[in-house]
Amino acid sequence: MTGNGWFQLILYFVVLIAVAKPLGTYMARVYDGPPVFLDRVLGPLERFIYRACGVRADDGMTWKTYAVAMLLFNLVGFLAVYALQRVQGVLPLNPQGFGAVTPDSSFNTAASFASNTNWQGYAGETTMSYLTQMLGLTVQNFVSCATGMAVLVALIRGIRQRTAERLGNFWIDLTRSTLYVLLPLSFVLALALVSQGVLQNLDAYKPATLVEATTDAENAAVTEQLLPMGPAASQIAIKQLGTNGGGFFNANSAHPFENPTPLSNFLQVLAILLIPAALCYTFGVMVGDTRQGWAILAAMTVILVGFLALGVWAEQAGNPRVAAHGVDIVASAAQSGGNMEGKETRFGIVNSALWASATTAASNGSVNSMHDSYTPLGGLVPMFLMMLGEVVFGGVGSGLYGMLIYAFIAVFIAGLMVGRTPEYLGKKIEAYEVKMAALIILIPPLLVKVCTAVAVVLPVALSSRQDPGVHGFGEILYAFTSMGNNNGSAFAGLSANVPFYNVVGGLAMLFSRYWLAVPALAIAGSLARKKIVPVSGGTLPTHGPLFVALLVGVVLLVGVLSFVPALALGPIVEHLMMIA
Amino acid sequence: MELICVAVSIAFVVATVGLIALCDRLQGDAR
Repeated sequence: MTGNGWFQLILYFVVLIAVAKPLGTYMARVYDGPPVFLDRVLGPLERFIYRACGVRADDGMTWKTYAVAMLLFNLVGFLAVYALQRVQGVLPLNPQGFGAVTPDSSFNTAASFASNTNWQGYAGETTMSYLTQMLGLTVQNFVSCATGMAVLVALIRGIRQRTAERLGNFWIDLTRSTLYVLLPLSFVLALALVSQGVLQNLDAYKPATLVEATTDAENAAVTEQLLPMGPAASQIAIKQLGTNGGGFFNANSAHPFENPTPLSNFLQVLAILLIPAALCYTFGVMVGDTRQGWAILAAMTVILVGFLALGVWAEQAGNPRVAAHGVDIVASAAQSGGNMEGKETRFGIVNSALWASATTAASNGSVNSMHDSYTPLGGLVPMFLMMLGEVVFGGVGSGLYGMLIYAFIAVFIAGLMVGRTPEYLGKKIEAYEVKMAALIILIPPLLVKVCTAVAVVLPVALSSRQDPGVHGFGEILYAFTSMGNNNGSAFAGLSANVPFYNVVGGLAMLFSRYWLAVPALAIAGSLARKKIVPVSGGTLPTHGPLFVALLVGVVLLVGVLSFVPALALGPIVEHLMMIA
Repeated sequence: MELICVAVSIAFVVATVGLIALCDRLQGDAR
């Protein structure tokens, strides 16, 4: 790896960690009520929304009320996105005259964007009108991640409350997340992206004369190309900040109109992990001990850096079978070296591998390179990061509440080892919490493995593969890993816009989102009722290196035990075949 | 296909209501 590559990686993590504290402090103020500097501007709008919707600030909710409000709100969003796609042909802001999206694709996309997965079976520039992109998909980008933030805040309140029933108000948490965090950050990032050349218009697609004429599949001369247009920057900003990941164009962030320069690339990959990292600090502030937040952030960072190193090494080493044909795959001043298939030359290997790791560690799912073209081990990295349950940074809100569930499991295991009742931040972790945690941890692997197993025996599902053999198996496994963990990235080798993948994948996304959020809220409700146990000599400190190591170990162990057999049938055997 | 999508959506909603009821019942048993 070049010195330039090292510099960019170090700069990325330094900026990320440096921004986590101020943003995390700000978000804690947003949720805990003290005035923030945006109150003067957005306060009247916030109060108007509450008045219009009949929301009272002092109406606290039990975990069940909170869960029902969350589910109803998301159900309405799901139905709206579905309906919008089905009738877009007769609605305005459709300069290309796109017709209705098919029912199964509409179902899949509605489930995908409501659940913050943003898996895309469709190609944006050939399927969706501008109205659908803006009113359906972009709005869901905001509110789906605000939903994750709200559930997280409810869980944090559950941890810190003493003998209480109420977890706060879902509508207020949702509104404040959107108004005070997501909208301002997206506005600033969208402007920065426009300055780099990202599109933001409502124009019809524009024809451009090719510099060099070519021919199509039927050997007819092609002299013109139709350039897609659209309000991309406003969607891309929240797509990255909200760990959504759904691209405006089919090629996602590899497309030059979505991600034109190295600076736009840096800003976007920073935005992917920005809020998940800052929320760790928010957690620390809200529970009154910032060391707790740093410990969680340290555990996430250790796992990410480890897998990032493996990914960069695998891609930089390249494919020895290609080198055997005399191709120079050594990095030099003139070329990136390594495996550049499926990667953009303006990003190179380091920025592609960094993006692949960040987008799958977080449940973002946007891509700036095609993961299907990675070396077997390079492709294993994003796949396994998703298999860890999207808790390594994870989705906005959902990643941290997932990691807190792992923290409960970690103290439970530690408690078993030393024979003491497990506690986390003064709350006893008992049988009920562990049962709910088990549900949260087991549902995604169950979804991934059952759906993959069904797909590999159905001819209709197998026919969507681009490649036969182990790589084709990897394409199917990756698809369901992505949908079953609410990530949304694609290996790019699978033609998934068919009824089987649309319906089964849509259901997998719904289950992996809401069947994890409901038990998380149930745990919040259970913890809120408990007293806080004073710290004693038998309390396991949860802010030190020992706990960080324990947490990392538990996350990796669950991931390895759940998925190594499946990985052995895909990328691991593919790697052995490559080096044989 | 539209009917299949509606049917699986309704089934999911019903199952999720069942999940809430199950979590609530287990919580009641734990207390």
